[in-house]
Amino acid sequence: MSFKNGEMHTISVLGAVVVTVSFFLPVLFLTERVDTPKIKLDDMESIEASIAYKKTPQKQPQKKTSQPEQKKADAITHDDKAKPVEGCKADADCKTDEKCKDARCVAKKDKAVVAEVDPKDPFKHFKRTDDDDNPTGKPVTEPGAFNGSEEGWAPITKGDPYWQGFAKDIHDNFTLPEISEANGIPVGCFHITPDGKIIDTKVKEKSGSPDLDQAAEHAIDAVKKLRNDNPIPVPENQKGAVTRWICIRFDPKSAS
Amino acid sequence: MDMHSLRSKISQLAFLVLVIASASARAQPASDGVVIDVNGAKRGLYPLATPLAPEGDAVSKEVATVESGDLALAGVFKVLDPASFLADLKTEALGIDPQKWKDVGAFGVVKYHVTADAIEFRLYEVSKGTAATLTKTYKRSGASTRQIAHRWCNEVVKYYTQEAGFFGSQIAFTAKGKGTSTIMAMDFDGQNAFVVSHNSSTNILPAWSPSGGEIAYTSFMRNNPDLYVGAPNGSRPKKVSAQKGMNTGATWSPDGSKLAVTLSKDGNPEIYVINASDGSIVRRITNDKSIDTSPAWSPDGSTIAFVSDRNGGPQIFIVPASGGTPKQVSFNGSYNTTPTWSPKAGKHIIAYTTRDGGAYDIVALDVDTKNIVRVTQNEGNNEEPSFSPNGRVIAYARQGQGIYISNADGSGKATKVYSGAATGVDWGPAPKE
Repeated sequence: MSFKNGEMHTISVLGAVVVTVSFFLPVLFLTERVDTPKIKLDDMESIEASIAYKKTPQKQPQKKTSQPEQKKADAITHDDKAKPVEGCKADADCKTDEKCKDARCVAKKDKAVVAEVDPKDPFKHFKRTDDDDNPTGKPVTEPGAFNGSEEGWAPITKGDPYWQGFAKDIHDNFTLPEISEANGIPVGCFHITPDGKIIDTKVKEKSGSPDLDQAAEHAIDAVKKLRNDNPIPVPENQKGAVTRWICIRFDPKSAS
Repeated sequence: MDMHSLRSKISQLAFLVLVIASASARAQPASDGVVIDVNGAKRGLYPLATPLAPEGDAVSKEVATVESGDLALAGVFKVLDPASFLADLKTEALGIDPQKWKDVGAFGVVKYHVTADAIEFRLYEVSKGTAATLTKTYKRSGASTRQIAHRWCNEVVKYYTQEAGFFGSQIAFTAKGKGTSTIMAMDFDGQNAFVVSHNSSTNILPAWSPSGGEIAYTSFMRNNPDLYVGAPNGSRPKKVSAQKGMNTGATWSPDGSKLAVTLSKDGNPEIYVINASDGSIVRRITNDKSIDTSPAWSPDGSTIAFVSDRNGGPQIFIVPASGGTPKQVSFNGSYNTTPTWSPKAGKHIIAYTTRDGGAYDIVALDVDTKNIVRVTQNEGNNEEPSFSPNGRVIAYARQGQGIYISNADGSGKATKVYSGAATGVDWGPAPKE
């Protein structure tokens, strides 16, 4: 078996494409993964805040979209009581999925529709140009209700001024007596509402150093009061973050 | 694609995998669900509540006054305003409701109960619940209420810092009058001031002996500035050094056997070590045509700090107590005088008077690290510092106003303990148990 020059060229080109794709697809895939685990927020004056992840990586949050408005002309109804669209004398005067009844075109019953199912595309009647696969509706920012079983968030909080400000408030109120032990890292969490109020807090982990735990509790209480007295609404792009507990690691030692 | 390129690509891919694995490992949190790390707690004073005992009688009030005054001066605590307290003191009696104290920011609470023959004290750490972490009972016979309260406060300081407290110690100083200067002493908090030098002459620069049993000072009572040593109770002092010219600025060796002094018997002020018993010269420490004065013996006895203008303006120098080459240690500004050593073991900290922008202030220099802490600023002219026996706080004279105490680390506010023109502040040793 032999190939002509043109065929050889074609095979070479195809081979090169296959090899290139087989190398670059994993690279592209893994490169996206690399972008994900950035943990540090931008440096602040005296605070280093960082984003951490659950051990099981969370999916990136996605904004929900509203349902696009349906076009009446393409609407499909199985309602016999629907008003007929135009007059007729026989079925031939109506569309294929309609029949003439009482001098008006009405939709055929389900049985008739099912009988006309296209085996290659059974749901073609449901297709429209602006279906869910091709959303054209306006995006909404409604993040959903608070999920008290979830904690942590994702990189959308990275370097966001809102969270930097929140971390600064915590830091400003995180005072430990000079003479007190500072071993361990307590963890406290906040339930923040989109309007910026703090409606619940909890100490998730204690450090084992009683004074340090008390200092963390004091900071939590102080920030709760501060933010409830002067709430700072959560920015639109951060509202998803507050659908779960926002947790703080109170590390008494300065960032290295 | 040739083999070389292929190997190169594979290497790159492998490297990429390693980098990703490394980054992922770093991204793993210490704990699930953590979002934000807040690093570096601010360090501050320990919030302590010292409520008045519910009895509310005169003795109880005196205990509360002494206690809150002592602990506020300790350099460790922030004594909370009683007006903020939420607890029902009568119901609590000698116990505490921890949450009530947590709510006002207290980390510690001191309670006491006065009876006819004793005072019982209890210390609570709010984070540790309702059990007292320190309890002491003192008999009232043979001790004043002030003394008992001081002793208790020393126990509290020792509990938290493992250092002896200084409550009950005394401060000597020179009180300036019209045409005279008198050596006086008082309790560290300004109470019970008394005269040490009973003469109508000029008396300056007092220095407590390490035992607290004697005070050395310079007096012009025989017209020449001679050095005397006397008991604080004002009994007739003993003339120790009467060399021609200056016999000034005495500082005791830690064992109390010697004094470092400034003598100008040869015309120029130099630092000497003399025997405390008879004033005989042990050795000459400095020999320079400049002015050398204000010696201060280090607590470990190895070094003497002094002031010299040998390099221009007055600066702080240190020299081995056995003699040697002086070394300049202060370089801030052009005027640094009146050095004094911190008694903190293992530290080499010298506090001194510095001039900054025309004002005189107190700074503390760590000789080892060269770190300087500003103890006073924008508070008038402050001079002649002296450390408390545990090194936590510094007393100093504020020109024309009196004697103040500040935390040695520069934190907190200064507290006035003596009103009146005063200089030459020297803090005595820790009180005997």
